[in-house]
Amino acid sequence: MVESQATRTRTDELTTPSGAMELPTSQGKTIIADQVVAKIVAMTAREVAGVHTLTASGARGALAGLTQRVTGDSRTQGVSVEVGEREAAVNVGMEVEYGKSIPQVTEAVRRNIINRVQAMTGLTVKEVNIEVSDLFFQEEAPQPAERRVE
Amino acid sequence: MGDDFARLTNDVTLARAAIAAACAMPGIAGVSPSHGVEVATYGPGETVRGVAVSRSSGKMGLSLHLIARYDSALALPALAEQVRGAVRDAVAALGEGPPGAIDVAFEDLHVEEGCPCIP
Repeated sequence: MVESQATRTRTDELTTPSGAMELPTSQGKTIIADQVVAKIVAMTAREVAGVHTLTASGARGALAGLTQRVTGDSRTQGVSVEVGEREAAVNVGMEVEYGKSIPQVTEAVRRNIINRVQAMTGLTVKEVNIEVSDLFFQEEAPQPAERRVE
Repeated sequence: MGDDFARLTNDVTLARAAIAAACAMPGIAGVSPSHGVEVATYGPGETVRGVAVSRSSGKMGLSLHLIARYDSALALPALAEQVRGAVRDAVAALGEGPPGAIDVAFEDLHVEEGCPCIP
């Protein structure tokens, strides 16, 4: 709770009124919408081995407004971003596969997000808050429906 | 009055050329469907979506609203520069003077179905 509050205050200063990053160049502005940053974060987090799904979870989800700002696209589920002119703050909720080291997985996710967002948008990611909301057990996986049709 | 009319037709032609040049680039998936206020250039019987032409302060300016295509080597600031280059060439090909500013807004990312990053 306390941590979320701090995040809020800090990133409020970063956020531009339009909710998008604006990069002025000599020949016009480049504007990158929050939705774009959120999708990059979601893709990048999913790439990491050990991450099962991204999930908007209870308290953090309600507080940080996970996913509502965007168009309900399932690709950005569990991700919320706050983007300023030069910097971004990211919240990610996820389920981790059982048997993987959670600190290792989350650190890899954090590093991957920071590197990719920087490379793809030029934004510096100031913080990546990760909430591991659940563990995923392999045996829980539902039998694939295709089996019946074959 | 005559001037105004000539300029109006010209803007639609310009807008069409600019957005065609941008959308022809492999890194661009298309024009952004507008959220809220539509970004478009309006002409007689025609709307060119995703691009607005402005002529305030005497210099022609363009604002493009696009969807980029996601891939692992994506670099949006560089892509925006390439879009500017392509649009500038397309505008020059119409015999129009160089535009003042070309604003490029990436509103969304298009992710291919079956992308390996999606389980």
